[in-house]
Amino acid sequence: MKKWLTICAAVILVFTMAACGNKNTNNGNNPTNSPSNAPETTPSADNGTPEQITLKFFSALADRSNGMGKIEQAIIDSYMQENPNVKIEVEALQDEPYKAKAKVYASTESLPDIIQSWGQPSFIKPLIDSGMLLELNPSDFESSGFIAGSTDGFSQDGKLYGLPRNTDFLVLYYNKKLFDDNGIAVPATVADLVEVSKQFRAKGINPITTNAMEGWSLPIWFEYAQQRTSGDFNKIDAVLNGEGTFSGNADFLAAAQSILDLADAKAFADGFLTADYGTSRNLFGQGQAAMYVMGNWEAGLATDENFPAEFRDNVGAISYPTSDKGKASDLAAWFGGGYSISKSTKHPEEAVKFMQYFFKPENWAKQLWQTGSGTPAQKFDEFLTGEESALQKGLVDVFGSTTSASNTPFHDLGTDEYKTKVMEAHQKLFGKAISPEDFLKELDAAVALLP
Amino acid sequence: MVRKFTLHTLLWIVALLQLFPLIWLINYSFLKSGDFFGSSILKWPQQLEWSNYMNAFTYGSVPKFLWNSAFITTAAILVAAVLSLMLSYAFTRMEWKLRGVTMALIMLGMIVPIHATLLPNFILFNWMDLLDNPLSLILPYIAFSLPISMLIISGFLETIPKSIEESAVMDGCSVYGVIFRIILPMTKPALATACIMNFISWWNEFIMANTFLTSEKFKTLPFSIMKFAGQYSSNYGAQFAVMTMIALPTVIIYLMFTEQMSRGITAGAVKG
Amino acid sequence: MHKLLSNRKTIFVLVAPGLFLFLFMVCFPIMMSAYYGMTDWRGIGNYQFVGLDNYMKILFNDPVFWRSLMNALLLLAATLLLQHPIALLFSILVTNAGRFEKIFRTIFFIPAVISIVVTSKMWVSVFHPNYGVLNKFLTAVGLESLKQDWLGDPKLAIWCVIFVIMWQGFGYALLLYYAGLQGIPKDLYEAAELDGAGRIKLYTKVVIPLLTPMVRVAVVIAVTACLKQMETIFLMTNGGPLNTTQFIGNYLYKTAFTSSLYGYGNAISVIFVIVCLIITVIMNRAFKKDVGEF
Repeated sequence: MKKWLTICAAVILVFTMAACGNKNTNNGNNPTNSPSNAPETTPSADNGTPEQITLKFFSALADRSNGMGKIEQAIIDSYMQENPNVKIEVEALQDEPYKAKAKVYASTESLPDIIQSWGQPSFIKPLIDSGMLLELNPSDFESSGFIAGSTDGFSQDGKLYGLPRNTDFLVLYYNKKLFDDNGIAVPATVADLVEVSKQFRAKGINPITTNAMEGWSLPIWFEYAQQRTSGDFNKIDAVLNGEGTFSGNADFLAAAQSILDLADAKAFADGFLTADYGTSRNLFGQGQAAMYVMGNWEAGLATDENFPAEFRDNVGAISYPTSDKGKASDLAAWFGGGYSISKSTKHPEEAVKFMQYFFKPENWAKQLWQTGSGTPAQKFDEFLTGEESALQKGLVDVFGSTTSASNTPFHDLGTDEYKTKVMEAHQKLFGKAISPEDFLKELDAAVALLP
Repeated sequence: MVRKFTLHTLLWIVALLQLFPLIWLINYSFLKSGDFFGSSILKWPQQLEWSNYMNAFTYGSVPKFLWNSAFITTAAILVAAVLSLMLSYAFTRMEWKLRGVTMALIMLGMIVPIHATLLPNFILFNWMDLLDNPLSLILPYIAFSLPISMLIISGFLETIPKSIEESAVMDGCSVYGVIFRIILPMTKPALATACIMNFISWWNEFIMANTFLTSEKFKTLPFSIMKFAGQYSSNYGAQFAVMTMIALPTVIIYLMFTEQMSRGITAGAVKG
Repeated sequence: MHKLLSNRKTIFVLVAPGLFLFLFMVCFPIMMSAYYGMTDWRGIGNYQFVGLDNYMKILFNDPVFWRSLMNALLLLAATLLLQHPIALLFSILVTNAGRFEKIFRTIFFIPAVISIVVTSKMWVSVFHPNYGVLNKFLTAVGLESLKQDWLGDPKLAIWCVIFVIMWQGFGYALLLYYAGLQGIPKDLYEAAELDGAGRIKLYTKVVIPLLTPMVRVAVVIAVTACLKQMETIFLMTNGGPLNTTQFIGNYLYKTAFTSSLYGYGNAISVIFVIVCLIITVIMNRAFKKDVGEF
């Protein structure tokens, strides 16, 4: 045994040195990219037709037959039809696998030509800092009608690196039928929510579901809880900016306690800590949970044929229940996903051209709205038809009344390490694994990781 | 008689426990998605939902991924078998100074978890431009097959008398001739065992497959369910159909070759 | 013959391809890990050399790492104390099952040949608290009080996961022991029966001692499999709820690809390898005699 170890050690030493020697060639932003990723350029059969171009398009909209993914695919398909020389290859993964894979691409400096990105520091900042994203010219997209402020998250030092696709806000979806059948009233206040949860539990129905396995809905939920106790969305941002701490602050403590009250009332669906996006959505859509805390992009719930008609006709949405300090018009809202173009793309003009096409008002904004799949980050009032589903109208009402907004979810305002810590702290709190005090301490520990 | 009855009942109960989830899986692959949320454990389909399989076949790209999996796995286990046979022969028959050390080093590989090499191999393949290339799976699969295959094959080789080879050499056969003409046929059971064990490992492997392969061109079968679960997250019938389609090929292959496989494992394990 | 067998060129041709591939794909990456483990690389951009900081943090200040290790040992204990004795018992029962022998052997092995992706997804559905077949079954037989939030309960989840892993590996363990039993000469049984030894005595005194070499092989395989466990976890719980089902393989993946701590993830890889080494050495000491050569 000893003998091998010595030999192993010697071999390790040699190889480590070899690895060190190789470092310089791979460290930093090496622009020479792997040729295997270069788009195939097959000579065209017809004379005179433009060069064949393949764009790799990496999306986090995994479901290509419903909602936003369907529209994204439809626009891609129609673009390819209008431009036969362009082939757009889509790779689509669900949110978490998407982000993991995006990191894999980024660490090897081989980003696909167009990627879905988020205008939030946790995602976009490392990419911008290491020069992997193409700077965009805002004037190219003037006709798209982006809402003022929606491109801020995609900008750094006054330069634009991405385009927002959605206006996102977190709402409470509810299944009217379950409420009516059980003689329960839709909760108006935070206290009602606890009470309603107890009533549903007593009837053997899951009160609220959300995708706590991935974890990102929980910090936004906490922002609501925090706003409803203190009346101010900016308190968390202040802590992140170095003003004070989470621990020892009565407002944060009360907010954490209000989450714990929900947990004590067994408000969260069975198995919610291991429920991923699809599972939690199904639970609600199949009438197994009365409420669903999720973003407004789920307006498609009302039209998803996988769910029974009695659900589709009865799904509604409200803002998070209120308190004496926080009103329904105080909304956890932010500009969410969008797209960026890789700096190493071989066809920057073509990629920009496609983005221009994509964000033409009559494409993304119109189709997104009129199919009830979400809310664009572009002006869309001209596309209101008056024939929107009840759920959609409900969502418009929620959004239209906004008086204050939370902006970028606070777990996204830092590194991935920070983000993981913040989400894990929330999972523990929602899962009743720690006290509110310890929860705040964990948040402080996470904030300490920020530069 | 009573004892025999008890014995058989017990065996059948455990057999059922082993098989039940599969029966359930196949059952629900023929039902409507909504049935999954009902209260029955198993349900006789009023009408078979073949559309689930149509969806699985079309959108899950099962045939393509099946082919990729078969190609990558087969290439890996065959090359691994040949290389380990050569190594085993060198280690058990040839006479050289570093023999013990080298063998020990490779055996050490048996305890190296393949996932520990995930991150560095990723960087390595990127340097070598091997990402999104079937080789990025085949090479580590072969390398990680070597230790266990060698253990089985060299154990088996020890039991083969050397006199046969000696007489072959007398007849003018080279070492390579000895290995491929005489040893290879004789070690078939051990080679089969090694191949089967490796087949099971690599057929199931997907973390590397998911990390190293980017385009769908080379994706392996496990990916199909990942892709499908994302795209059809609300359609359990279709998900179950695609899972059934992934599960069946190996089960069928196993049922066809069950005798050879069991005999292989038996022979290899006993002698090895 | 001797000359032929010590021909350097032949040896080189036989050994080089395999050895080179092995060094390149197994040893070299580990050394790269050891190097990156000493950096604070986040996957993108530049990094700094931080010495042994990552390693120290893992060993002394990372409860999740230790939790992962404990889970591996828990799985190992369950495998050795439950799965293997049961598999051994059933391998004996199967050899005595007469004309059904082959059928049982075949059925028991089936879960082992099904893709883990399928079995994991399948079991997640079985365990689902609301529409999973397990809770439905408990309701059907009137044991509603036993219904559980199987995978969602931080205390229960690890046992559910261990059960699934044992379920899948059961047939494999059984087949190994079955193979061992086949290797025992038939006349031994006859001799023992002539001596008037009872069935149970026959097995405890004669057969099982003869199986010892096989038990060793099976245990070695079990130990490595338990430590390396990753796929089932990744697909069933991804370590959750609250990291209670975390295993090292999955943890290092999560650290690198979710938390973007590449350097730290690589350090975990290295410690992972060292832990495996240590456990193997301990195991070999315990067996005294060598199993194979490692």
